[in-house]
This record gives sequence, structure tokens and C-alpha cells, in this order.
Amino acid sequence: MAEPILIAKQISKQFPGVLALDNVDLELFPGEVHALVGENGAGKSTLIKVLGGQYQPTSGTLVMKGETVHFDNPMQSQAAGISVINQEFNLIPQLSIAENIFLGREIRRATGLIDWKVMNARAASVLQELGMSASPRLRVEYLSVADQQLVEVAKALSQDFRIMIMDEPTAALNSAEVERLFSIIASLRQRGVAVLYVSHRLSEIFRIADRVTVLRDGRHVDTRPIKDTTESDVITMMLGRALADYTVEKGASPDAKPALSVRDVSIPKALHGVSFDVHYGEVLGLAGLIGSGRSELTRALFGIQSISAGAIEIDGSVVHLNNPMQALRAGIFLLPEDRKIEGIFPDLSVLDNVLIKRPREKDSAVARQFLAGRAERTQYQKIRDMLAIRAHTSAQLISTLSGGNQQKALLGRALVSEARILLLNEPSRGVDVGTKVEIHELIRHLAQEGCAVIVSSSDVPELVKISDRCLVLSGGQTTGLLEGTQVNEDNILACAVAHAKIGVS
Amino acid sequence: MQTPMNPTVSAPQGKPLASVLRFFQVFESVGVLAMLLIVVVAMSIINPVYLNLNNVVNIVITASIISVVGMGMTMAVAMGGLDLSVGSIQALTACVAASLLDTTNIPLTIVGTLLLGMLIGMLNGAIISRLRVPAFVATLGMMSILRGAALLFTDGQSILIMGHDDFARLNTGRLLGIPVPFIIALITLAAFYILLKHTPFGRHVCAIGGNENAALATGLKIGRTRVLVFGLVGLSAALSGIMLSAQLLIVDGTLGTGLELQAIAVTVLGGTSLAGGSGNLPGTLLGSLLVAAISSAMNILRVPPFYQYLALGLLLILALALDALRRTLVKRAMMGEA
Repeated sequence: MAEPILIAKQISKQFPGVLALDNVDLELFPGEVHALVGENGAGKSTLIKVLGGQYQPTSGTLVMKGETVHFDNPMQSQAAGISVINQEFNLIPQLSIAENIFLGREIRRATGLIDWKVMNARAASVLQELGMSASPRLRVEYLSVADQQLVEVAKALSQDFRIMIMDEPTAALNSAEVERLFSIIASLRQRGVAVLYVSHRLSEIFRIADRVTVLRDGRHVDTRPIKDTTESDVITMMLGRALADYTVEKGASPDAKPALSVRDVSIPKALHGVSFDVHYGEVLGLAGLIGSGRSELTRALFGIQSISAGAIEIDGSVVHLNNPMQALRAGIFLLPEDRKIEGIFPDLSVLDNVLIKRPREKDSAVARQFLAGRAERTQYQKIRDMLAIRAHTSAQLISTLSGGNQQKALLGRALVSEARILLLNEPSRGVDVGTKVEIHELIRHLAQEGCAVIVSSSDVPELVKISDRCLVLSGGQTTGLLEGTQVNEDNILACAVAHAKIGVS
Repeated sequence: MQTPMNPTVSAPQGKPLASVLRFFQVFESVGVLAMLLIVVVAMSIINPVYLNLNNVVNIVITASIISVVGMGMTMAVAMGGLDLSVGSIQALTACVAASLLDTTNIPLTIVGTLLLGMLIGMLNGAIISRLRVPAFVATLGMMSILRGAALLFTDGQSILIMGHDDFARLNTGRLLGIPVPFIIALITLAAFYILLKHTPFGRHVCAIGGNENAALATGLKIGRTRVLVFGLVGLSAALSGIMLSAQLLIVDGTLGTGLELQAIAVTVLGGTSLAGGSGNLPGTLLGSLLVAAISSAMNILRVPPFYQYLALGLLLILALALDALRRTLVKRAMMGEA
């Protein structure tokens, strides 16, 4: 191969009390897609921030083109040709695509005014290269997440960046959008861009990466060509131990009577007459691509989305769910899809986050108005031990925990709520492999304890692992209700794309 | 360069949303225009005096003075800020202008006063960006400091402007039959519009208001932009101070109380969202005309002036509620789209 475009030598980063990076080495070559993997807390984000100029390493050097470079801030990293595309985009929603692409380097006429014609035309040509048809005059806030991501790529392309760091780029994309991104990455590689691809999804890495670097506990475990390694090798390196192809115990004996019945429920433009039952003691998977009506259905079950026809029954009687309060009162718990936006209260402690909606009906009218210090601590400790939430103290801010532990804390709310119908959205999104197993075991445990659990997920292997039955939606209609051994990836995918092309209204 | 990649999988998106957006952009201006028409038509039926040339000119002049400050305020709001000190700046600069007139000539008075306003505004900006005080609090403090400065400067007395007919013509003069204050307002509008919409500076203002973290990561000079924007707010407040002193010909340190409320109201009524990220300057002019038209209507209807405070507060809350509704509707339209 050619000369590396970037060499990170013996990078260490010390935070108070934590050595986040411990002598990590990384080489990026032009035209390679280099995957960076590791459990949450392994040091991936710290390394990205060092490369992006947000953090300065405690020791170690970065070398580009044979010269040592120092990045005191993100601007210097960008000037050196490194672009970081975070999960949270650096876009201005109210500005147009072209304005975002050229922000800070606007093309001007002699008068000093912006030359819209040239700027829009240049933006359009970059967009075209990416196969994006939107007008460069369109405001970014009206783009889908996938298209916003492409605007970020376009921004980097237009500046001729040689290194692109993508942090979990597919986390919010549907499968068609993932394919589009992959073809763009392939073409970036062809033009000699080095792509550092950070993802939890090993299957993606094995599809597109040339090499993979594994971090564990802040240390560099190994860097290997992808063709000389396997998924289980990578998992072993990430965990430091082999992960037996785990299976969670299924096949509890669900109650005969349904806990929740959905009867011919319709939502305009989203759902057309969907019916199903969930029983106490079982896990019902809910699968479907974006646009299948899956997210609308879970929203309707939690009273956020109103239904235009049909009925929802709990324990055999019809309920009207017009807002989340009613859903909670009816014994439904919702784990929101995006824990950062709808889940955690970042400035509250772990304890407060877990117990935020502690049922107080049993308390006296006076006690209800106060926090019950000791009782709450005891309850929190029970939940913490049960879910193995790794926090130093109960007073630690939840935002300082890793994503996996935040997710566990949110699942703790389900235990606190005493709800018997659990609606779990993407329960393991963005958590590491180890935590994922723990969450899956917890979900099965909850079903065994007699809860009726609905797991809505875009992670098909996850649904296969944990569901007793799996409902698949496509185009707002039920295209499959799989049971027992029918619940496998092939069947779910086949149902998920069924009808999708026939174009249901 | 290279061939387009995979144009077939490009997600078609955004066109219906763009039309929703366009509808609301039109509505923002049409909405305030409609309210203005309703007030004018209703008043011309109730009391035809309302449409007398004199009264109309009065409305236009009042609106012009408010709109000039409104332009500055719109810029600050687009940047995600607010300036509560505009009323105090107006008072101080009006008094300074009145006393400068007696010691120097008119052009120097105008230039000096504008410069003073700009410097005060830049001080606001510096406090906000260097001392990291939120704009709301920093300008709240300056509102009190500058009010005190204006009262100290005048020693609590009024200053009469006498024997400066040319200066008074800044208010009473006509150019091609158009009142001079309105011409000043239109020039200010044009200048601020070009600045906000067609220069990198203006785009950076909106960028900071839209997503400050992204602006920072992009390497925009946030501190400098902020100081300049508040400098422009100060400049606009000083300009309105000059216009006001030319109108009243007697000024004191208590002028301009509640101006910040009016400036924010006309900005939001004009369709600029307090969320930041964009500014509707023509809308601000329309909003100013609406506020002036309502105020004149209440005078003609002999509504006691105290009620005008109530009306302004109600108008402000109404405008904000409409802004919130608009954002909810756009969001809902987008979710239906997704």
C-alpha cells in the first residue's frame, strides 16, 4: 500500500480518574475503509475527538505527510483535511443546503455579496455526485436524516477532505439509505479518501471495511485486514473473551387470555386495519422498515398518536389512549426510541432518572409531595443490582454514563412503573455487544415474570433472538405474524418487503 | 470529477415539505398584512378621521421609528439573542443628539450619535461574548445602566430643541411626497436585508442562531459576529433616537420605556421566530405598521393610554402563540411526510 495519510502513534488520553486511551496506534491509508470497533467505553469516541481536534492527547503524536501535527481545536483538524461526521450533525437547520455546504467559505462577488448562482451551482454538482436530487436552495431542516447526512458528506467533499471519520453513520438510516451510503463510501474509497468507520454493527463492517481496528478498555487490541478475520474473532477481541453464540431462553407459557388486543386499528397515511394480540408472559416482536407504520403503531399504543378507526383493548375491555398519562394508567410502559431526545434527563442523577415516575398512589397524600429518601435509595439499589447498572454513585449524572448504562437505567423505569404491558422501542440501539446480551436477558426475564412485552426493533437478529412471535408490518398492513421456528431473519425480511413495492396508498 | 453514484436510490424527499414551508413563509407576511387591513378597514368604518392624511402620516412616522429599532432587533433574534436595552439606548442617544445640536452642526450630531449607539451596542455584544453572560441578562443590566446614564446626563431635566429647523425636517420633511422617516425606514430595511440575506456575515448570523455548536465547529468567528450584531442593534436604536428627537423636539431621560417590548413584538409579528436562525425584515416593517395602526386606533377611540400597555402585551403573547402554532404545524406536516 501507499504511504499512510495519517499515523497516530502511542496516543494516550488521561481524564481525571480514567485513562481513556492508553498508547493507541492507528494508521489510515488513502483509499481504505478502516473500521473502528469496541464496546462502549473502549475509547472510540475519545480517539475520534483527538483526531477531530476536540481533545488534545496527553501523550503521543499525530503524523500527517511525514510531519507531526497538533490540533488545538476542530478548525485545525479540518484545515489538515480531516472531517468528522458525528451522529449529531454540524448543520444549521434554517440555512439552505448550499449555505451549509459553503458555511464559512461563501463564494462572493467583487461587491462582497454572496454569489448565489455560482454557490448553488457548485453545491448542485456536489449533490449530483452523491446522487442526491434535492435542490441546493432547500432548507436543511426539511431533509430526512439520511439526506442531512449526505449534506455533511457533501460539505467534506467540497473541501476535498482526505480523511472522513463517520461515527455510527447508519444508526438512523433505513436499509435503502444504508445501501446508498455504502455505495457513496465505496466511491469515496475509489477517489483515495480514507474513511474511518465507527459502528456497532459488525455485519456492516464486514461488508464495507478493508481493515478493522479493535479497542478495548482504552487499549489497542489489534488491527487486521477484514478478510483475515471473522465476526466472532472481532467480538472476542472486543470482549476479551469468546461470546458463545448466545441464545436466550424462550418459550415461557403465556396466558391464554390476551393482555392487549389491537383490533383493526388504522391511522391515516400510516396504518390500515392492523389486528393482533399480546399475551402476558410472551415477547412479541414488531418488525417493519421505516414507513411501514411500525413507529406510528407504538406511538398509538402509548397515546401519542390518535387512531382513526379500530379499537385497543386491555384485559378484554376497550381503552381510549389519548395521551401518555392514560396509557400509563392503563398499565402500559414505553421505552422511547431515542434515549437522548425522549429518554434521559441529562442533568438529573441516575437515581432521579430511574425513579422519575415512581407510582405514588400507595403513599399518603402528604408523603406524595415529598421525595422518600431512604425508600427510594433502596428501590434504586435493587434495580441497579438487578440490571447491573454501572454507576459510581446514585447521585452521578446520567449523562456521564455510557450509552449502555443509560439504556439500562431507562429500562429500570419499566420495573419502577409496575406496568404489565411493556412497549420497548429499539431496546439495544447504540449499546455494545455485552450490554445487548444483558438487555435481551432482562427482556426475557420480564416476560417470565408475567409482563406482556412488545419489542419494536429495526435490528432483525435481535427480534429473532428474543421474540416468541413476530408481527411484521409493511406499507401499514400486517404482512406476517410469525410463530416459533418461523421467527427467523429470512422470513422477517421477506414479510418486511412484501407489498412494499406494490405501493399501498 | 466522477460519475454520479447510484442516483436511483436517492431518496426523493422534501418537495411537498418545501411547499408547506413556502405556505408558512407567505402566511407569515400575509398574516400580519391581513391584520393590518382589518384594523384599517374597521377603523375607517368606525371613524373616517382615521384615514385623514394627517393621521395616516402620523401612523407611518410612528411605525418608521419603531421599525428602525425592529430591524436591529430582528438581526439579534435571528442570531438567537434579544436586546432589552434598546429603549434606554434610544433615550440616551436622543438626549445626546439634542445637546450636540447646540454645540455642533447637524451632520456631526447624527454621525456622533450613531457612533455612540453603535459603541454601546458593541459593549453589549462584548459583555455577552467575553463575559459569557446570556444576552437576556446582559442587556437587562444595560437597560438599567443606560437609563441611569440618560437621567444623569440630563440631570432629570428636559432638553428643548430650538432653532434647528433643518433637524426638525428629518421628521416633517417630504421627499417626492413621502415622509422622510419612512424613507429612512426603507433605506434601513434595504441595508439590513442585504446584510442579512446576501453577505457571509448575515449568513453567519443565522448560522449562530440556528445551531451555535455547528457554527463553532465550522470555525465561524462567533464572538466578532455577536459584537457586530449588537453594534448594529445599538446603531438602529440610536437612529430611532435621532428620529424621535426630531419628532418631539423636546427630550428627556425617560424616553423609550417599553421600546424593547415593541421592538420584540414587531419582530415576532413580522414572522421572525424567537427560536433564531432566520429573520424576516420586511415582516418587521409590516409588524411596525400594525402596532402603530392599532395604537393610533386606540387614540382615536379615546381608549385611555394605560390600556395601550395591555394591548401591546396581548399582541406580543398572541404573536408568540402564533409562532409556536406555526412550528407545531410544520413539525406535524413533516411527521406526516416521514
